[in-house]
Amino acid sequence: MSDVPSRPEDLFAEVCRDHTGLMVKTAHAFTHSAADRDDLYQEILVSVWQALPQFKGQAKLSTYVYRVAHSCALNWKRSRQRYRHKLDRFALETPELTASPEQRERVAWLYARIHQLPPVDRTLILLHLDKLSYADMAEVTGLTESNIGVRLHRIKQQLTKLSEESSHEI
Amino acid sequence: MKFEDIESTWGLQQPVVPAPADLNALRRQLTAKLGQRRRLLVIGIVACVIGLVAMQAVFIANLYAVRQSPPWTFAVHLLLNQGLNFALLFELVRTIRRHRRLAGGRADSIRAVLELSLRNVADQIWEYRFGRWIIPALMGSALLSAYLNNPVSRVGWDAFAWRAASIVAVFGLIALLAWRHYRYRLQPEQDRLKATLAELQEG
Repeated sequence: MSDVPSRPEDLFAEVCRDHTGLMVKTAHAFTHSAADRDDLYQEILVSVWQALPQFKGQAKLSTYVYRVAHSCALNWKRSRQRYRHKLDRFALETPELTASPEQRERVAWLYARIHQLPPVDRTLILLHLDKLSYADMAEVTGLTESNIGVRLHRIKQQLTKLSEESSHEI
Repeated sequence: MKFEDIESTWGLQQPVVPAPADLNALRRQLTAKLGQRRRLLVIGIVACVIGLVAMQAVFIANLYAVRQSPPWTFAVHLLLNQGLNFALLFELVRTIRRHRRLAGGRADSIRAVLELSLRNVADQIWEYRFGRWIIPALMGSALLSAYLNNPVSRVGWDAFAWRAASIVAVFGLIALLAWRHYRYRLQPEQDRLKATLAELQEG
């Protein structure tokens, strides 16, 4: 961690290059419409940009960005966001997460299942699906590793059940 | 369906999502957006400071008229005016402290950030509850001032009633807006944050 770029501008470039995906996935998991998704994505970018000068390299940059992005998403208020969006709109659309329409459809189906989980469970499952270690997840959430293990077991069962029900409906 | 299927669906997403093409333009936009928000805070602070100065100016300007009235009314006037100045200053300091606290804790753990947000909402709710006492006091002060500056014996009941009704309408509107903000923004926000934190605290 000694080669951490010191300037926020350099860190921001690194975040955009390597971690745009995690910000976009977070925006997808916490919103239901494209407009809200763009709003939340912008809000996450603003929060990250604002938080980067405080980054001193004690944690991995990705963990730091996860922390900021998920805190922002859990604090995000739709109605206020709409008002704020009118106030300081700038044109930035959320990048696509998938390459083809078929993949997009499948991924959208999965996000619809994830939306059915409570907010904190959504955060945990996203971190798990992105293959974060329990130690990193504990650092992001403030929960203990053992607690995360117990919760994840339950969330995985719940998500699998929701997915099965949805498959039957189809 | 197995969890592995969910994981494979998740894996359909691109490993590296393309970043916005022009990073310099994005940085400029983000900086502008933050500047705009900071300006809103500064406007609020400036409005508070103007309010403080204006209240002192109005008090000094009315000092002669007020001194013509009995000493007890002068004392009440002075007390209310200084009390309101103190309340305004208090609110100003709390708002600045709240913004600093939020800015400092942005990158803490999710639990810490949510606790901070809840504390800030609780602070705002406390201020609105404080407002339940301040708004009637402010209205009383304005009514008293209207009475002292234009006594009924001089202007008649009709003119005084109009002034009093206008004062009550203005303060009533302020109270209604404050109540709506408390009821439809702050209280649901507090409930939502409490529920999310409870979710984090449950085993």
